[in-house]
Amino acid sequence: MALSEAMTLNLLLLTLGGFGAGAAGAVLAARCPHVSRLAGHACALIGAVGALALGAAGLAGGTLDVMIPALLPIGGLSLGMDRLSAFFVLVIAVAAIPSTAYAITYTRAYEGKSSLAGMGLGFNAFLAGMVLVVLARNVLTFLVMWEAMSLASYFLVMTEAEHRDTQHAGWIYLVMTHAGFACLLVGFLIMAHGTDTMNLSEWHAASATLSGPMRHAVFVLLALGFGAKAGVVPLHVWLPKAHPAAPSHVSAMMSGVMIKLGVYGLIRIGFDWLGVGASWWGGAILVVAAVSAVLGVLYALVESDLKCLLAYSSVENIGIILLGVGAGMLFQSYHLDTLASLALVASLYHTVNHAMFKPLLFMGAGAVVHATGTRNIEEMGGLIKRMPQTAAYFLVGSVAIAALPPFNGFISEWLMFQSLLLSFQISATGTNLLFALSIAALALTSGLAAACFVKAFGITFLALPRSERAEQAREAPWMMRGAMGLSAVACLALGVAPVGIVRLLNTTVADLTGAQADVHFNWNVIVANDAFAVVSPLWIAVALVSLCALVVTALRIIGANAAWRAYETWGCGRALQTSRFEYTATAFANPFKRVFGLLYRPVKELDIQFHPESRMFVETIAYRNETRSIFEDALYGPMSKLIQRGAQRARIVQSGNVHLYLLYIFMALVVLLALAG
Amino acid sequence: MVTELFPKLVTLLSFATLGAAFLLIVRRDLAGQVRLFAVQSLALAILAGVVAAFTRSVELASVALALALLKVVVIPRVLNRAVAKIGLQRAALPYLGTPATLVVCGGLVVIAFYVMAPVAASNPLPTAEAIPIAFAGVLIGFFVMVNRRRALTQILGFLMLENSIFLLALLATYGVPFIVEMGVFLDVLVAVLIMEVFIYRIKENFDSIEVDRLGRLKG
Repeated sequence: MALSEAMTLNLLLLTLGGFGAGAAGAVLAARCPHVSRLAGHACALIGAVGALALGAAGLAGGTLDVMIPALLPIGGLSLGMDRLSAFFVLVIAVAAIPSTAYAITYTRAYEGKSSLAGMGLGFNAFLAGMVLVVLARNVLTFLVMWEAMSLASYFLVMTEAEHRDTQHAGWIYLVMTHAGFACLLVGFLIMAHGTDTMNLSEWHAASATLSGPMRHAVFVLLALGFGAKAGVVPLHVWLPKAHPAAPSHVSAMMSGVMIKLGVYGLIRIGFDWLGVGASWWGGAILVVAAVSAVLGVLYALVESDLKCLLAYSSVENIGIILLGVGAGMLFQSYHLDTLASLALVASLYHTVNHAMFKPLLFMGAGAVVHATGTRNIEEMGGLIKRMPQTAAYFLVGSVAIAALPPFNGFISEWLMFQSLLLSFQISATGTNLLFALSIAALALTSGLAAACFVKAFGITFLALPRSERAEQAREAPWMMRGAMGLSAVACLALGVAPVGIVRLLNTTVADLTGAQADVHFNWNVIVANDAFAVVSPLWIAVALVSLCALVVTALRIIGANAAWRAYETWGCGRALQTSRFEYTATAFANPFKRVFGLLYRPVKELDIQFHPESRMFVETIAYRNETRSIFEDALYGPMSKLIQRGAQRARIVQSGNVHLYLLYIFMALVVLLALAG
Repeated sequence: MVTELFPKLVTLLSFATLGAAFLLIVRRDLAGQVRLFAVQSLALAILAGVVAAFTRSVELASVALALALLKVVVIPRVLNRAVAKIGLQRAALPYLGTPATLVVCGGLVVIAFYVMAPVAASNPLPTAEAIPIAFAGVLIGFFVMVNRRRALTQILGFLMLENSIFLLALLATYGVPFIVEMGVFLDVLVAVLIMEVFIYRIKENFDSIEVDRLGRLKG
């Protein structure tokens, strides 16, 4: 089906119009927070639906070519759409639709506390910025939109700017994002200089003219810039700080989508802009990805701040996604194009999956935090009785992110494993070893992720409430539940019926690698690489459901005459059963803390105050068991000290004397003139 | 006859502005400096008038008129008021003494001629010959800003700089478009008014208008 350009253009206008109207509406109604909130987010929802249609049109082959020279200097505003861009527009929309719907009700809590006009403006600008980043077709458009996206998200993170934690988080985010931006800027300029064009779509053809060292330099700079946005270890430090500080619908978008634009950039440099690169590029990305996946999940495991846990889990998922990107780049450098495609398909599939279940989990976390007034899961518990629907949706998200069937995470990780396992086709010992280690890392990650979300769900929702607020928690409003339900259904749909999306992804990556992945479908059975591996998600789902039904029926038959008896949980003979006896998040994580002690370097402090009369009686016990971040201690601490020292040196130039500043300008002018003359 | 006389007249008047700038450096009391600025502006206004007459441009004539009104009458009056308010009649307190300043400014004139000679040579207008003079004025105005300690005398440096930029535009292209020129005039007027108020405030609050002391505000 040929799609007319006018149609995609109209869809783009609908998208941007929605976001524009949302921003304008939120600001114009600033006096009336209620209206501002509704206008801002309802229009954003329209924009997000437009983006969904735009992405779908792009995947169906629609193109876009917008060029407005007057809007920006150096080449003007230039937009275009290929399948990869369209796919990422779709990813944005898939996460934005439920998050925005959720925000309509969720932001009510901010009425009277924060500026809803600012929030509406920021959120719409953020969404529009992300859509335009992936559609950008020249250097300046890309950088301006990238910066707009980063700044808008910074202001959203700073929503509760009165808290010190938030200020700290915002500051770290701002520093990291701008350090990344600086790398991108230099990389882009070198690339533009070397290829003699600012037009991104011409870079692929022109990259051959770039000299070897320049190509490596561009790769390193751009990979650093995009890696900082994606939040790979060790550039991840901003993620666990900024995501918890932001309102939940913003965390959902930042964690679900914004960090994926780093992946988008990495795919662009690895497969499009720089052409086929050196094999160490893919190897480097593979190593970083494996480290991110394992460390991300390990940090998530010991975290007891619910949103912080989810943020660390994003580091893990970015690691999994980048495993596919790195593997794809490696395969490509060994000219195994079909395998490269398979790895990329897995990677993109996981991208869209993560854009579904991570917002779902953040929305769930937002509902829980809103109901209990705390982010600390130690103070929750028992919420499944008070918020049954939220609990169900959170469970769906947890199962999906733990990559268990019948949900979507399973399919993408399955594909990822296949693509990594097929690396035996390469005959180079070092590379094989690298792949073997990544497979091990992925396997370890999957297991730890399951443990992590058992903890996240179990400690939060099961057992007895451990605080008064948790006891009085109420179910979330219908709009928020509806938004979560939508995401949950999407997770299930992509889990049982992956055929359509895998086909679409296959054509998408074929544009980049030049070959389709060897994935065939036998109705609902996926056959990868000439029957190397076969899976049928639908049959797995059917088997699971029938197994459950079987168990229930069997129980009914066996225990048919046992009457229902509502009684307290068996308390090992104790008369009293309180929430103090429960398994806590810290207790759950402690075995992992011991096993991976080298990484966590736990600081344990036990402080017991005995009664002055007798040591038999204890007055107070204080127990602290904290983990220290190896990156903040070993990497960022010394680095920031170094920068401080440098800044002190540079301050000599800054005398505060106006005359001296004037003299600087004056001398610069005279020297430049003398040189030019 | 007219075409021969015109470049000479232009060069002469340009020199008059530069001479006023040099005198302003030498002069010590503030009231005298303000008067010299008015003289420089008057020479400039006459020059603009001459160019307007030569090119028969009504726009330029009105610019000349506005310039005379603003920089010969209004701004000197504002500055005099500031001088009276502060009660500080003497001592420009420069970093470099007068002889050293004169040497530096002489050097700046040389640089200006060195840098601007090719520009002047490539410009086809009959006024182009005086372009280096105007540029020397720009550099000297800038240097006065750098060299002087008191805020008020820095303003004089700024105004001289502005005058020279106007002169440069006039010589190189017969002035910039009318609307731009008017905008610049408005800017200068507002800047001077604001600075006047500020100087007064600074004086009131800190009992001094030595810009040096602002250095204490740095972190």
